Amino acid sequence: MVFRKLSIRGFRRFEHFELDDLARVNLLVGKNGCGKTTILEAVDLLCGQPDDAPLSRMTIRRGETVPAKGQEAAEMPAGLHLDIRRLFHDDPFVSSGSFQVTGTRQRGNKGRTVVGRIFKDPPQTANGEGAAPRRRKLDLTWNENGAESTFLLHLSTRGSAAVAETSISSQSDLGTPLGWIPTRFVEPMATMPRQVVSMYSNIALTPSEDTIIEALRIIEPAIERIAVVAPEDAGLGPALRGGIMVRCRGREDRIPIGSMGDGIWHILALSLALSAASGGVLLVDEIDTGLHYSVMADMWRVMCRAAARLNVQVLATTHSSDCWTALASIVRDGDGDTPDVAVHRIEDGVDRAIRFSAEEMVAAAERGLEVR
Amino acid sequence: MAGSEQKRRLLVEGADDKRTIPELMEANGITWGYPSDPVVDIGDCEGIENLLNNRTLSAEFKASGRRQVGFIVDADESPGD
Repeated sequence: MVFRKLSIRGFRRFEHFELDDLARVNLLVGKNGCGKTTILEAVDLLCGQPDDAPLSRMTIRRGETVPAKGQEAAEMPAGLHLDIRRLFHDDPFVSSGSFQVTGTRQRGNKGRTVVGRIFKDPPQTANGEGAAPRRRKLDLTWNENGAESTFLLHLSTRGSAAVAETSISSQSDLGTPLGWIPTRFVEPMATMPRQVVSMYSNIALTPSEDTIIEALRIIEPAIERIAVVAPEDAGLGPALRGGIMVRCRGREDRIPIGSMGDGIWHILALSLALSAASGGVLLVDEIDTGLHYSVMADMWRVMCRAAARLNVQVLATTHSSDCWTALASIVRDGDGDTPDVAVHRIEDGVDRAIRFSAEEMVAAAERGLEVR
Repeated sequence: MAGSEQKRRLLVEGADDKRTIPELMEANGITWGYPSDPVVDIGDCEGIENLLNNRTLSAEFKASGRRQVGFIVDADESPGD
């Protein structure tokens, strides 16, 4: 298990928020705008990568970019400019605010922390007419067991960052460098073909491929195998779901995966991301989108089994009643081996999630209670 | 299947309690409200064991939108039984 508890301070909408007793598979529920996706983003940032990937992902997905013109164009290199100020609960240009995300791995353990803060370069000693203006920087520092890594982004005067302008440094008190936790953040229906092809290439002809086929058979039991095909060979060009072909029992022709409906694409993206996050964390925004309620329980069954086998911790969001009741149903129908699952409800203005254990989920579903 | 949010919930042991209590409340001047929006949602637990079950109680307390939970237990057995 990666994290037992999460603590978030000063990040986006959360002044302070805690998520306790995380299970292996965690479903986050709550009303629109309560912060479910923000929690996924916080974990994405905490697990970290030695580049701007998590930051770029979360800001671009939300459209938090600024046009590269006017002031930004004059101050920054060309390219994508991320609106960094929106990551902070309190405007860091006004209040010198910072954010912090901490993940506790086990009780009593200090855990892993990432701190984001904005600072200005110290004044230059030989200043005077024509001295370069002091620029702000975003400092992201990860810390765990005495090992530390820092990532710096140069900001424009208005708070945007150009992704090209970065630097990273690492140090460790104990000689062991800070490790990065394998993480995948997916919105299954928005997963692009090149991501799917890339993930599939990594697991092709390995035991993980069997898990993918097993997952796909939830939707279409006749599937025998899938293959990545070069788009030009398939005559697909830049098609939205090009490059993946499916072979089905009783069919001579190979079938483009796009012909098989949204459910197949959803399960393929989800199961590939799970394999890619082996030993780490899988973050799934809106896990139910595109899935018919009748396959939801099978989806959870495969997810829970694969997450345990691959030692992956899953945090997923949903708005769907079918989604959480399906999770409850696999607990109820389990053959004595209760999956390690929990539902966490996030409520506006409440600084701690309300947690339903596996057994409480079953009780709630049987009594017609609403957990969302 | 999951239900709608109910702010006030009253848990009772059985179907007789569920039918009787609204009558008693009306007789004592409490307007019951529309069937779709009663003054309190009465939940039949189908027995004292289910009503006092830890999982049932914690799920009831944690249900979305819940503000008040009440219980009516028959005084026909000793608490230790």
